[in-house]
Amino acid sequence: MKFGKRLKRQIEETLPEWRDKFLSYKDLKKLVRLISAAPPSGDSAEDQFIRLLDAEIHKLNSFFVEQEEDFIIRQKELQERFREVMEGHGDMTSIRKDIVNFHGEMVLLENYSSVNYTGLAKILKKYDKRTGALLRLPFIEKVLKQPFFTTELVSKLVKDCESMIEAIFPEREGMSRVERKAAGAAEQIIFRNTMAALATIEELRKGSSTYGHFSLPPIGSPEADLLLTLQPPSPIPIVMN
Amino acid sequence: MEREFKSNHVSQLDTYTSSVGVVKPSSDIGFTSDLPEERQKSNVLLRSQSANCVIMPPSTSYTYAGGYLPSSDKFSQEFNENSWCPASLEDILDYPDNVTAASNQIQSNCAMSACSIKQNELSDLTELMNDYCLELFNESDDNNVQPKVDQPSSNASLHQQNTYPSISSSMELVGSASWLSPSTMASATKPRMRWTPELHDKFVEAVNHLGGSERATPKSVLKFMQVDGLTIYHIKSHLQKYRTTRVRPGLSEGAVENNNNSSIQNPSFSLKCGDITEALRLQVELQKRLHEQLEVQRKLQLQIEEQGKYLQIMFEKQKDGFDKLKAPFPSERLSEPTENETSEKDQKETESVHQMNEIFLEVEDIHKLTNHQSNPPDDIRPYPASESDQSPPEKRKRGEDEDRCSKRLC
Repeated sequence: MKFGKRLKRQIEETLPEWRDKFLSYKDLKKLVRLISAAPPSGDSAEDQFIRLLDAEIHKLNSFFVEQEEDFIIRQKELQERFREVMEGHGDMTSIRKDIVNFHGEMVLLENYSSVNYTGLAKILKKYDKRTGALLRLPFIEKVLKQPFFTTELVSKLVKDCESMIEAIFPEREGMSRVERKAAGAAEQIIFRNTMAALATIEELRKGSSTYGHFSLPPIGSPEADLLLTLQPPSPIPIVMN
Repeated sequence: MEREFKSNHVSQLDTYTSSVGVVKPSSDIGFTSDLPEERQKSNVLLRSQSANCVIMPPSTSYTYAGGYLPSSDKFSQEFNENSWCPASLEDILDYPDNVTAASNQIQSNCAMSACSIKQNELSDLTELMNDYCLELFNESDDNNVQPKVDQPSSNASLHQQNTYPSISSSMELVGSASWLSPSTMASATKPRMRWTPELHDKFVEAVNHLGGSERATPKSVLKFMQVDGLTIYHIKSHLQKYRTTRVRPGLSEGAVENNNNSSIQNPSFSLKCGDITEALRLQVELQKRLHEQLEVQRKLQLQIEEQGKYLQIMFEKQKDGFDKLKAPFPSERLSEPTENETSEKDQKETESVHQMNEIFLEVEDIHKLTNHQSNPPDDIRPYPASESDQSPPEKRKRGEDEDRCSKRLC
């Protein structure tokens, strides 16, 4: 499946407030086509393109940094609640749910970062190809340093979250096949989005017909199996009786 | 004063996660990763960046430190000075020695020479080389790229990253004026900054001291925190977020507005608690997996770009080497002031060029490269025959390495 389509699907599946915060891949592609079809004088076309890219990057950065800030605050709160629950006075069920959702959202932010980066890299490659310019290499350098791509902090928060999760979920005997039970709508959305993201990654890594910068090695079988055994949840929550 | 700006600058460039104005050289604020490699990474960056950073004048330090996208001219100045630092050739050439065997193979196989290739085709080559590299990746690493294996290489590559030679004019800032020129208006009026857990802890401390989130005022919090570069705008927005989170911790954790809690409160549900736990567990597993995959992917993406840069450098080296080889005889060169260095450099360049040639030939054999490579291997050597005769044993050895790699691809 083409990246544009995959991106679109991701956006559809994502949290509602995030939908307009993704890279405007389609628009950028249109611009590239426009530029290559009827190239105005060399510099102005490139400037225009760069300006649009900058604006997009600014959008991505703003959103990302804001989400990150939220996560920092929420994490601290969760840690306090976690301590309370560990000491015995707190609702285990609700904190479990909250921590899992929190974890999920952070991972989705990482995914957001990754997807947008991929889009940018692809657009730049298209641009270079269509116009014969050498914009990609230096520009992608800058992108790599952008806040939205430097996800170390979020990654750390995720790991901290995982250690909390270890503590609040009892030992398990291995991955059993469990039917999807009722869960809140929040879990549904996060779950669906996570599935979509995983599917995207799997596709990305399957090996494309056009070997490109992102012909990443295929994922090992465990993932494939996992995805195969799991069905995406139905939009209608399956209520338990 | 100077030190402050310097450290501000350093932290800014380093990770963008350092809290504004609060930079303790000893600790990695905002970069408290558990991974040793990341810590090393930050240290490397800090060291090299501080060597090259520009002391910003007082009036600009605020915007600069506060915004992650400073105004374009400052940025391009910084871009020029920090991304492409002049470096000794030895640093560059030491690079392959610092990496592990696996990535060494990848590196050497990816380096492409051929001065006959025009600059315009570099991106195509980069692409091909990346494919090549990734194929090797596929072969050498089974499923997951083990981060630990990459560790030495990532350190080395980052070291290299900060010691680039100055790139020739053709590479330098295509469309230079507008490089990531941010909305300077926006950054001037509402500077964005990146919060860190440490900074937030300070914030919470201040708020608690001042009577809680409802009673504390932004101004007093700002005063209490005493963090340089922090503005009342930052505090205001952060306080607002903080208040929202505190009001109903459970609700805010719903995060997604259409959180449906009623099903949980349903009495008949409590019997199925175990199932909910199972569902949550499953969800977490999935999320964990996604997280892992994303990390791997990100590392790969970074590495791919490293390769690209490496290629660019080697290409430049190639060109320089070729030009220098056209220079007069060694004995004449010795009469120049920096004679020893020059001849050493030339030797090394020649070596590297030879190396690249070798690799190039291997690559060519396997990939059947494009039109301009139509000549049979022997003709591609751009160097006079005498030079190539001098070091056949070395070539043989290198050739063997490449053979092993190339065979895996066939």
